[in-house]
Amino acid sequence: MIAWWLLACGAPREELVVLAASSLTEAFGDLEARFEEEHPDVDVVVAFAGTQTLATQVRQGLAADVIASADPAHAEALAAEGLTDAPRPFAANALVLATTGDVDLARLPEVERLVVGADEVPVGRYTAAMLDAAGERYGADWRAAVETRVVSREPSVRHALAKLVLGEADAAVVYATDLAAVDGVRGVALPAELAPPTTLVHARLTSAPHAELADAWMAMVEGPEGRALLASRGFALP
Amino acid sequence: MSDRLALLPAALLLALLALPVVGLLGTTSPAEALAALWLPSTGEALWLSLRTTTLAIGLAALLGTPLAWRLSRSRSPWSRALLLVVELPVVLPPAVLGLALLAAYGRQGLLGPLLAAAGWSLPFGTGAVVVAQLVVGAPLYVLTATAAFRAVDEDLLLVARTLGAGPARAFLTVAVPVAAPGLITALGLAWSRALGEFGATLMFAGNLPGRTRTLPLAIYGAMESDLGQARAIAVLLVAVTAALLVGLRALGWRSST
Repeated sequence: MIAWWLLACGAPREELVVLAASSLTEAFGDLEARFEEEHPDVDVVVAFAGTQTLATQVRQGLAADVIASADPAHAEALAAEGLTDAPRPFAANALVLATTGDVDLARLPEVERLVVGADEVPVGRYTAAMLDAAGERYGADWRAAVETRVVSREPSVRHALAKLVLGEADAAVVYATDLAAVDGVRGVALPAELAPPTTLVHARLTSAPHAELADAWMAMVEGPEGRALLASRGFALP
Repeated sequence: MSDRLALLPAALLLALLALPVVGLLGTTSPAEALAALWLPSTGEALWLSLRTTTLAIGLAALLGTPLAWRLSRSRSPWSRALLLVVELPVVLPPAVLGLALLAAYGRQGLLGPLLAAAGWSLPFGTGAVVVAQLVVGAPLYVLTATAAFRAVDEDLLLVARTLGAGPARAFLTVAVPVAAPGLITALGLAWSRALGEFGATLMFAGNLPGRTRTLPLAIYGAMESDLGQARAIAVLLVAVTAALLVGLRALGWRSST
């Protein structure tokens, strides 16, 4: 600890600020450590939040270098406003039905408590689209019954997962990669025709204080090292 | 400290407290805040907030007034220890308090099996919202009411007792009226804290429109989609809380004159 203090005070380090969607928490933790190994004079600060919160921070002029978003539409909007360069895809994720019990999608109405993401966050919108598509397959009664099982619409995918891990909910719809970090929760894969893969994109802010470092970071994320680390955390690659 | 010496720090603190609220009000016109009120989702959240905080603060006053009275009449180590118990929820970060509430009343909590056996379940229900608001609001009520009761002169009570009033009657006809302005302040503080409760509610009660989505949760939700709407609902919350505080203050002023 003290050594860390001395180090931190001794060398003037540059601070690369990366804003990232909460689903990237573990993967970007790995990437941060790797990047700092290769750039000892750089301190990478990754701020995790819901994608829309990140977009708001960018619009409010938060000094940051890179934004990594779970929703391409949000990133495209920022680029259209001239706040970031064109976003590039770097990973893909999939929705899964996470459960502590023994259910599958067809028997989802049997769970007592289902937790999903709020309509305002990407995971919530993807979930609603998936349930609507599944409703076409299993019928309107199934769709209506699922709706009565929803006890909470959580503001981030990690909040939804927490309710499941705490034992307060029986099932939740989250990203496949979220399950890598928890025990005791089973992920039930969803058919791709109901839940198409979701794309993660990143972009450099036009106001990035460290444009070169931002490029180096994005190159690493897209490069072999980044791909390997992302894959080890369960992400699919574009 | 001379008056002039006190001026600078006082003005600095006032500016620090007022600026964010002024800034927030500046972002939204009253018309926009009113328009937000007519959105079904906001009206629903406001109505839920008003219902749950009224119940929570009613309970806080009902259960907290006797406790505050006992605490105010005693300076024993025991009552100091009790004060600490009352203060505990205030020092916990709200989200941690939500986790603690789950550890107490959740499925796997201390009382979970007992509640389940009785066919009750608190988490994800409107009851959980009330409990979260009660736990954050009641300490403010009890601490402020205790201070108000401390100012009640023991001699006044003795006079009432010698005139034949029982302890309950002496309390209701002497102690409560004398402490009324302080009690009303206590109510206002606890109520506004309960109205603003967010972290513990989200953790313990979840977020479902009409059932557990209170005004602060609606603001947080809107922040993810429409910042303008979030600001408008926030201005609405400030207005409701201000109206509550001013109304109670007026009541306290009347009861003290």
